[in-house]
Amino acid sequence: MLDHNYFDILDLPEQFSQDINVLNEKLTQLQSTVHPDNFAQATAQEKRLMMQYSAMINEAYQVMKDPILRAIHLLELRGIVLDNDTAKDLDKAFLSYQLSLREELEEASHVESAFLAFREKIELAFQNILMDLSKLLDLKHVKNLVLAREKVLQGQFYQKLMADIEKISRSLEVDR
Amino acid sequence: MLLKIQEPKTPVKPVALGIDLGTTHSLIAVNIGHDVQVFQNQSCPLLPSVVYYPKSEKPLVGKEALAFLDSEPKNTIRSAKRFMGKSINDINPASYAQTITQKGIQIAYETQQGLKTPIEVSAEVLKALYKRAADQISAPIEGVVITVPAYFDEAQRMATKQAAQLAGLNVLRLLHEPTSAAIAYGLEKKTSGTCLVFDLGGGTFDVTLLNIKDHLFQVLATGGHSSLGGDDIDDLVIEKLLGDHNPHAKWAAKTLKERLTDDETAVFKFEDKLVEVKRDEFNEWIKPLVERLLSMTENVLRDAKFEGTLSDIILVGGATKIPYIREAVEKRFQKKVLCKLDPEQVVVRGAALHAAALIGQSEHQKSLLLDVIPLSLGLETFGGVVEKIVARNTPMPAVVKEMFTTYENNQTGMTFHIVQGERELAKDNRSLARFILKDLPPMPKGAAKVEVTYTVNEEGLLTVTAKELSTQQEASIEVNPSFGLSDDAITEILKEAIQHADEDIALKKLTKKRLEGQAMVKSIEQALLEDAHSLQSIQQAVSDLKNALEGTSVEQIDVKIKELEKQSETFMKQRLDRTIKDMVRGKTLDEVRNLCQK
Repeated sequence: MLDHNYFDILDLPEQFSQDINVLNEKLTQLQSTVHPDNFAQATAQEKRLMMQYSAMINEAYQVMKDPILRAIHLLELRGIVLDNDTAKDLDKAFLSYQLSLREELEEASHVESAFLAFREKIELAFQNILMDLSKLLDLKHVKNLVLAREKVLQGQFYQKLMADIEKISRSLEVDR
Repeated sequence: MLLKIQEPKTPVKPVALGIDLGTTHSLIAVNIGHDVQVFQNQSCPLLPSVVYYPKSEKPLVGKEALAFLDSEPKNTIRSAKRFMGKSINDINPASYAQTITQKGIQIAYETQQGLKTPIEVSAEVLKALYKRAADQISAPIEGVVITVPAYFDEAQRMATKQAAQLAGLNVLRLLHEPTSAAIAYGLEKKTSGTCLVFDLGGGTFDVTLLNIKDHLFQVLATGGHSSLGGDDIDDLVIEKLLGDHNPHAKWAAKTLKERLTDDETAVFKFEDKLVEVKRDEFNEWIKPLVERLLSMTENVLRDAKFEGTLSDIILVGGATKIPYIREAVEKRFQKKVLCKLDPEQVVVRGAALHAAALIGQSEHQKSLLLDVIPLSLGLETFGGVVEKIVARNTPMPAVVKEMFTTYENNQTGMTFHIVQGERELAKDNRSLARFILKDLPPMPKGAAKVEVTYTVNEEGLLTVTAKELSTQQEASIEVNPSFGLSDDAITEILKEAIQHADEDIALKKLTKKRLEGQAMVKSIEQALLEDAHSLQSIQQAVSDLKNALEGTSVEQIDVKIKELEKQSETFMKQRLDRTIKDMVRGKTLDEVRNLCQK
């Protein structure tokens, strides 16, 4: 079903927790060989194939670097595919919590101290999700895939919220 | 000055050149051994990017052209780089000293030699640079690396490539200017760590954050503006001193700016006007612009989620010589700036170093460039909304696939509108190209499965293909013909310029195809030799290609090349797969090298 196993491509253990230094080393090691710059004088076919390999390694790296994308990939390898329309899969309680967080951000964005406190709170919540994910997904045989999926969806929400916080924070600086 | 590159009687090693095609000045350099030589003319390495078109003679480039700036402003073109890949709607023609109009979809200058596009003007600059180098070295020149602002969009990149094609240059690669500067510092000054490149040229601003470690150059984020630079500072000066945008005063403003770099006061001379300007006054004028630059720089640091301390700040571009800009950068980022290499020459040095590495002639350790896409690439969807396919700051090369479907019953075709930029609506972004996927079989809405693939190569050039999966109906486009010249137009101009007989061109084509075919045979034969279980069909395709090479038909050779590519695709992929797997597990890298020997 899946084209690639990115853990295999980068020769990393198939688990959630990853060492960023090892990841960077693997990227450098592989790209040193396959990067198109090594084939400036090769045939068009070799160039094209190498470019595709190089792009695939870049893609694998991007997925491995982002904890949520990494978790989604792990779930996919275990046959759990996330729908595009994720909202309908979130449990009711978290959905209403989402709404209240959005309102809270709206209010906090007018007062600097409240805004900073809110940002800290969201970052902490995101870190907790990552901790939960490593508990769930670092096991050899993942038992609770449904819960892991729920946590990934929540993580995605926090990522989007953090991106919006970042946007607001930039616009606040422009105002000053 | 003639370059001595080797002892007599030893075979001549080929070289590749680095070119910095700048808004104000352009440079060309070569890397031989460990050294970089920036080619000079009368001990000046900078060639003004100015072209003068006389009535009938050949155009003049550089200093000679500069002499006509005042007397014949309409025939003397400067800063053509700012118009590369742009349409007339992107600019205000009234604010330039030249008469600006259109040639097809392109901007064109009306000169006494007829309409000249920015691509043609740039080609003249490239030709002059190349001649300067070729006159000074005897070694065969294999190709060139041309630098472009990291923030250049697809149309601007394509326009640059087309200018090189028009000048008859073999472009090994386009390279981002800030990355090129980082290569020069990394290889020549052993700079390392997380560095910020602050690159303010005549017409463009780039800011790049990257990690330099040994021979690795990994870009973390890039940003900037493709029409903001020293030229805008000149405009500010004119506005403050003359109260309006007199385009003829640009040279006077530029001179004042440069004098204020060394002196505390300088005199602005234009027509009968003489004004003394203090540096502090000048600093006040440019303060808002500098603040914009700093805030763009901060955004790049945030995009990269960078929170540590910078190892170094590398200054690039003539405009960074302005003392106020240096001080402002140092103050904001709490770090002394690095300018051990001349900010005006550092880009071309890096390009020369990388050019030598690309043809395997560098004595420096081979560097690995992991650069990123500066602007998001997307597709217009229903309601004019953009769906981002490749996000900015994605590492290059990149291949991204997305699925789309029809939104009407029995829809027989789909139009794809490819855009570039960060805005939500297609109309607010740069439109790159449109193409149609035709002959879809009648299907209920939503049943077609159209896979759209965006491929961005290591130079940042995009190719888009669309394929309906159930019928295998396919359409593709190489971006971007919309703002550049079409390939046919280029051939047309080349024909005019070279004035070769058609036969010569046909012969050239044949020789080129033959070379391509020969390289292909050699490479596949080598691969077959290494693998005992070679496939009959590949061998057949190899011998077919060989036969075709005996003949004189370009089409036939091309058909056989394509056939051999097709036959050997899986085989070559398997070999690569295997080699890469071995490699990851710490085995020797030689196998891949052998595999892809030229």
